[in-house]
Amino acid sequence: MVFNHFRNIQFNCIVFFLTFNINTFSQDVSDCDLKFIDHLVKTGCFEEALYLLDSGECFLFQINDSVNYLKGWSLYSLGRLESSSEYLLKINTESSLYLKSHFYAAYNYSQSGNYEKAIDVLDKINLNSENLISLKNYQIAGIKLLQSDIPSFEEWLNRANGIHSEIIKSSDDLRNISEGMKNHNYKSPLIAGLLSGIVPGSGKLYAGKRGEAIAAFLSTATLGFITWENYRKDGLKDIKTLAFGTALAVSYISNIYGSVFTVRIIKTEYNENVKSSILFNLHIPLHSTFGK
Amino acid sequence: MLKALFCSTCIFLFTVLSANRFFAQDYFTKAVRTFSEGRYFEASIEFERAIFYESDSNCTVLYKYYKSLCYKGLAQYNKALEELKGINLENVHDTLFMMIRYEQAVCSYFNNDINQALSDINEIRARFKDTIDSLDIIPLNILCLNALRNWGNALVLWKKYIENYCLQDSLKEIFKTEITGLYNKENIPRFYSPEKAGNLSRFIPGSGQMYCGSVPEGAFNFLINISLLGYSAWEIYSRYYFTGNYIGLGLFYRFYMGGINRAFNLAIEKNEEGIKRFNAENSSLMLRIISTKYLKE
Repeated sequence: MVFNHFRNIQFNCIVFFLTFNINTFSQDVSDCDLKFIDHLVKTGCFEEALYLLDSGECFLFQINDSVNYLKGWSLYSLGRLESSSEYLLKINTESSLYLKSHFYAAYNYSQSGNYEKAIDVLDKINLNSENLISLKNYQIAGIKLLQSDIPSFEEWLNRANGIHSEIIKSSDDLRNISEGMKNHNYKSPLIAGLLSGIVPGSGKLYAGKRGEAIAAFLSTATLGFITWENYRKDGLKDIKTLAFGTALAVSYISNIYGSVFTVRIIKTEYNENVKSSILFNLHIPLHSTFGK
Repeated sequence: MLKALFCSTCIFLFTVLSANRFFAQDYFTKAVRTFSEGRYFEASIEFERAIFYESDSNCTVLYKYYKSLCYKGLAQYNKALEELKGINLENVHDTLFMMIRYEQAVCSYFNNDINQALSDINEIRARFKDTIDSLDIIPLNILCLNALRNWGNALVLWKKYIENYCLQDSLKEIFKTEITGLYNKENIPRFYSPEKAGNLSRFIPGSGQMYCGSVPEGAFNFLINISLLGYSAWEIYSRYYFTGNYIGLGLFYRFYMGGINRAFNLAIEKNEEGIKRFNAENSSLMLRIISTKYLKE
């Protein structure tokens, strides 16, 4: 009887393994090969991964969470943020990838400047752990800072007082950035234009571009001297005086416009730098919570 | 019971591993078919898939080699080189070794890294001394030597190539005469020294461009420079000091310095053009020799 029992177990084991192997063989090579696509994503071959995900192989699996995740992640890595969010948000709440994908979708919206949508996505995430709630509040605080809404930023950051060491460290950085924003004095384009109208190049000096200011002053002054020289010798109606006078006027006006433009560029540069610093600090806790 | 478990585990492992290998070979076949259709991007993905599922390292080497060919087809020579450099050449049999090194040399040549291409060719030559296989690398070697203006050695290799290639004696003579004509002094691309061109333009504006064979451009540059200099002199003579100095001399300085740089770059451009034309003539001759052999066969 004992012998028969062993025979039965032996038979069952063989049947189990054979069934498993038949299943393995029956896998059609034209199926959506997620294991391989995952390998492509991990090795940085995002274009290739997207090609496979968009091809007929995976067409029938568009509702699959893994497909949407891999697609969203590839698009995120290629910097196609809006489309990436679209796919990441398709992932169901039951999926183990749900939290990561929704947090990253919100981050994508923050990166592309769609702040309202980013907050909306974060608001809708179902969270039950203290750590994740703290992370969510921290992300909202960062978005508020991106919107230059400093009181709301401080309010949300206080709510993000977390257990998470990365959040504590990044919070300090965000506070420093907000202090910098509060104390930063934007240069006025109007003053820059007026200054350049009085002394060519001085508007650029006011904007902080010393080299450009000297170059602008010298070129306008030289043209001024040349025009004056021709005017003194040949009079106002001489063709040379008129030509150099026109060149001087163009140089003078373009210098005023250039000063206004320089101040605007400096403002944009400062805002871009602040934005990238905030986004960097928003990414660190995301990275440490969900991994690469 | 233990015996049964052991047997089952063995069957399980064997079938899982062999299933992966089965898939790998299936993907490889699909990749080769896609590659032959000229769909290199799709083929590169399939080769990568074959690499991913393959457990036999020898097969992986072959798949990687094919994947590099896809990148070459897409003119992504850096990626092709990266793929080839990632191949472990230990225990690779001679033919495959030669194919890999040859592809590396070709990609380096297209990437304008001629010295690396020659180094790969020399490695093949060191491994396959005086074998018939080493004949196949001669055309590429000739192109590399031409790119480095090493005409003497290129001509020696040409003669060796024709001598050892399976051709009729009469044809050999015809091709040898043609090659001697090709490497004639008048036909060899002239070397224009960029430094010399720049210096010539420094002394006489426009003469550097003329030295590089662009006579109208040189003449135009000379006329502009001389006119600006004349204008400047005239203005200063007429006591228009600001106009003469800043407009006349300022513009002259711009055109003068620009002319020097242009002459320097023109010499480099002309040298590259010359080598390109000469190598195109070499390539068409090589193709004719190869097609003659196939026609004969």
